[in-house]
Amino acid sequence: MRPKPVDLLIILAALVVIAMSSMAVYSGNSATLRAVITGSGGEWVFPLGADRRIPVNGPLGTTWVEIHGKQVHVTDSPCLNKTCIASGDISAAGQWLACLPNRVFVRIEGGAADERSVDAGAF
Amino acid sequence: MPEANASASPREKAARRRGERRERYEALFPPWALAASGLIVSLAFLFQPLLVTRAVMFLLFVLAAYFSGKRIALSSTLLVGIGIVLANLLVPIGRVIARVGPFRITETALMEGIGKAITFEGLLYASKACILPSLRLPGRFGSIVAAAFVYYDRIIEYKGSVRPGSFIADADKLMLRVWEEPATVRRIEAPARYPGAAYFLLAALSAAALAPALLAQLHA
Amino acid sequence: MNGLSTQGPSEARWRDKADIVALLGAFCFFLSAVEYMVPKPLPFMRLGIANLPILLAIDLLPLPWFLLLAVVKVVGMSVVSGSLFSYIALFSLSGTMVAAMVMWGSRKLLGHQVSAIGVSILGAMTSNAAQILLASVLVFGEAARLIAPPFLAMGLLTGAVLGVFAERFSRTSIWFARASGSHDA
Repeated sequence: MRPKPVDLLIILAALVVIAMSSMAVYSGNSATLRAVITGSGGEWVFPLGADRRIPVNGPLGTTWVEIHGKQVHVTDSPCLNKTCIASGDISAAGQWLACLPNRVFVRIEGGAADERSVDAGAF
Repeated sequence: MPEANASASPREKAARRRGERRERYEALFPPWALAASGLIVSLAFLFQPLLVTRAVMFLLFVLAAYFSGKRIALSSTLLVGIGIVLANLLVPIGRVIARVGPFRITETALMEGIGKAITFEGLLYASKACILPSLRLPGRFGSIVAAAFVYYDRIIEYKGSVRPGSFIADADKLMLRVWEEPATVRRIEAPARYPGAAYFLLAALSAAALAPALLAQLHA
Repeated sequence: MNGLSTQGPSEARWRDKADIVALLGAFCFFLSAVEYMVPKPLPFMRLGIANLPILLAIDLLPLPWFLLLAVVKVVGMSVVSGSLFSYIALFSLSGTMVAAMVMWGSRKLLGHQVSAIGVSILGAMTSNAAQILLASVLVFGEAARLIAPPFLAMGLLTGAVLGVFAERFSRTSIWFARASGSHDA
């Protein structure tokens, strides 16, 4: 009994699927991006995959961070200059947002850039 | 050897006690009523939003499975539970409550992991406690399943050998032999009579299981 | 006479689909019990050897009876092990039904261009994929994908072994020849 050509094609396809899934899962590139938020109450981590609004308390009051469509931005903050809101969206590993007066710091980590230093700030 | 009987190992004693529990349990509850209330209780458990209530129900399910005389392996339950929690911790979500090296333990992920572990194990114990092997499914489907079990018993009792060298031919012989006589599903048990209190107890337990979920719905 | 009558069961029995489903279902139970004794890294992940009778049934049973066999396998095993209302039964149901439908579909689509080996590999891979997907939703969260590649590889391996067995069995088995003859007639 010999496998038929279509059987061999199926085996080949299965091997390709296994190889691709291994690369996707173990390469590290696939590691989901996360927003790491630091405020006066501690540190929070959220995956960028799910949309949510997060209140972060600081000395001035509550800074609202929003994760929406795999992008992170500050929607509201009690600080005077509102630089953090003006900074807009960040979405890549290594990028960060800060509201210095309210001591709230948001950075994105994960993916291949995880090991790199914070180098691509978004102001 | 009379000594052998007197000095039955703790393991044997435990097995015997478990057998006695199973007999008592099976004499008490009609399989159908037990399965029906098990379904209600399992659904109530699944739709119970509060983790505390779920945890309490989980403990009651373990207790029920114990009384049913089913085999319970608390160590493997614990291992599987820890595995589920650790898997959920791998993807951090929520407030960081501790750090282990580069690894962050986050609150939301931890609670979700515990919730999933309790749900997974709880459903299993509830199911163990309320699905008796003597449960007969109704209708044509039920009779096919029952016939399959008759054939299954014959496979188990098959005396011929199945050797690796002639595996295919031996398997064919086994199939022909098992199939030789049609499966006649014997009705062994005459309709057993169960204590009326058992029905009442099952109804009360089902209602009690539904109560927290319904209360939570009213509150929301 | 070797204890087995040469005629075997009467002609009518070979046409009794319910009886064939019951026999193949019994072998599903038996193989599940065998599988239960094989140690596994995760308690609810199965090698899938209990899908072997379903693989053999593709050429024996018309679709409704074929699907009924898959349901008999899941429900029968869940009643015996007392897991009928648990996630375990859900894993078993999804894995078995996905494998059954994929195997049936690939045979009907590709006909005899594909042997039981290819059919079996497709069934095992999709069955394992379905169970990982369900495990990620219900139990493990996103981390479930870490176990996906080894489980898919295991599907390829067990699928191929079962396929080889099914192919050889269906060529040489007397039982199979009689049962399939009644179907074609």
